[in-house]
Amino acid sequence: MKFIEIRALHEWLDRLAQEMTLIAPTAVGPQEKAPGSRNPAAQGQQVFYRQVEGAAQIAWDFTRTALSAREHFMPKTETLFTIETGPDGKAVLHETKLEQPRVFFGIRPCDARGLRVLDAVMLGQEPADVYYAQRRENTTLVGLACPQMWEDCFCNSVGGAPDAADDVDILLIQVEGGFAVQVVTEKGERLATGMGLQEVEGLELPQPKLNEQFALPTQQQWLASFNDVYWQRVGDRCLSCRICSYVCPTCRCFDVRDETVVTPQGERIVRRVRAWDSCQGVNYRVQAGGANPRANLEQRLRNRFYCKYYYVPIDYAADGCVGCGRCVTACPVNIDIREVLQDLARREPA
Amino acid sequence: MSEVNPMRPYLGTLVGTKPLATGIRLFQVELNDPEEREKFSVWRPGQFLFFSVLGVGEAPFGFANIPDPQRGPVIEVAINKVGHVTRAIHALPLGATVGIRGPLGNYFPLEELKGQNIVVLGGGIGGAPLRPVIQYILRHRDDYGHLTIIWAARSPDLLVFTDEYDEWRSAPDTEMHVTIDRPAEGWTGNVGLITEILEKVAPSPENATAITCGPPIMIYFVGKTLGKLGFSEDQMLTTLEARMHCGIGKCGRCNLGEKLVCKDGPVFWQSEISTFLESFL
Repeated sequence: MKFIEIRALHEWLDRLAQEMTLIAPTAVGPQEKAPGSRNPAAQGQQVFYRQVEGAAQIAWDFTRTALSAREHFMPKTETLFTIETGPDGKAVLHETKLEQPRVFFGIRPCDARGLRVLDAVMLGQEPADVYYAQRRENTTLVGLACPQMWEDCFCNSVGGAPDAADDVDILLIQVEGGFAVQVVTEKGERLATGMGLQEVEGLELPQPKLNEQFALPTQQQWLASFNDVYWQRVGDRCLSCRICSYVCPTCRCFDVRDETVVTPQGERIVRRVRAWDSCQGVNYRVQAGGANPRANLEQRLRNRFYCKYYYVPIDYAADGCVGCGRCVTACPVNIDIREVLQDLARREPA
Repeated sequence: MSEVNPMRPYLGTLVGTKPLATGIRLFQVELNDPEEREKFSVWRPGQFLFFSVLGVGEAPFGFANIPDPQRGPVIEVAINKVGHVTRAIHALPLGATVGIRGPLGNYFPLEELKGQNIVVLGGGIGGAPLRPVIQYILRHRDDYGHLTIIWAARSPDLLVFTDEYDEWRSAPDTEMHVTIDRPAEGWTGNVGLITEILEKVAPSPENATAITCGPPIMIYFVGKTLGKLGFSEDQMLTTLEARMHCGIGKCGRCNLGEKLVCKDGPVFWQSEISTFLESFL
């Protein structure tokens, strides 16, 4: 088993940050509550995957990040192209340029698994999305296994595991004095050559503590429950706040708009932007003429669950949910996707 | 980027526009680049495109014509002034640069319908995506049987393509019926819902396919009436619309259950629609 000492890992990360873009979990916000503590949550900080300049900025002691990895492959807002009008009045489009090679360090296995869904939608069906494709291609994923499943996590119920190596290029698992290293892909191998890995015999990997596993509804149960009054009951609580989509690693709905911005230098830039959107929004389906085929709360809420567990598997042959638990934690009215799944799974098939 | 970027529009020029009905105009666009024009000019009746006013935004519209070998591949769309992009389109001067993405979506399987009698039912601006169907059948007149066109609108001023009715009516083996929902001053034609005139005209279901486009509620009731006349759901085609932001199955916007209007449609058989998990109404 390959192994790296903590100090060697830090040195490698510091070197990497000099050579390319390094994204890693990092604490964001003021250290109000417990200055000097190494635990961001104890300080009232939140952890995000962000670009860092070295190992010192990386948060090592965290559960899950506030936002998933999605924002680095499909940014919250991105410019597709700028529109320039030349002196002759003719428009010229400038597409967003290629990004630098990146290492995404410390991605949790569930977030990496979430990229499967985005891959299936954005790349798996022609025509591929070129913006997503270039970010994905330029990025090497170095996963950091969870030592345990956290509160609200249910990855083991949807086919994942806190230490799954399936969707990363390299996986690190914390052990005494450093990390066990699994090099998974060729891309990972290329990156690992610079890590200075040691070969250690008889390295014992810790067994992560798991949350209780539950059974998912069957396809028949999903089909039979579509017009059930159940959705009205759950929907009654929903505020249409959209936070569930915002924190979700697999939600991919987007809006496209043109906008004009004036730079501080007075330059006028016209651009077409793509931004995250959510099927939970009231106006999500509203057409210009005013028609809204999904005007009711329960229709919108139902769409989110069916999208994850019924539509995505059919349309893209991928699991639509990775069990990261963020939507459970984030929902202001305690709509708990685990409860919904178990409620439906208890039903008699029609 | 060497790959084709499906989110990047082709640039084109607004070469013509004319009023069609109250609030509705026809817009004619020619793509600027000859190579792109060539590549684009293969669109089929029923497909759609995204029309961009650069700096304002883009929105999807069905093609209102078929590529015309005589006139060159001029793209025509009928646009109702209702939203923020369509208001900007209506304000464009001739010669303006616009963006076009497409052709997108599936199309009416007109090749498969050769030899059949065709009933075309258009309501309001829903007639726009059916105009290419009529143009196609009239261009390949011998390949099809009897053509029945039933055209409807709420009021006379909302009827689209009125200046082409004479040409359609006088085509061989073709009949056309026009109706408005309520009586209007100066209107001497049919009055009543499209379903009423459909029942009166009563086209035979034998060796026939009906193609409908209009507001969802019209599609629904026309389907019911066609059923009464003996048409099966496999003899009814329709085209649906939905809010969209990509047109290529990525933005997630237009789903009806697991179906995407942009990729699985916009053209559907009634038999498909009735198995949709989620209603299109």
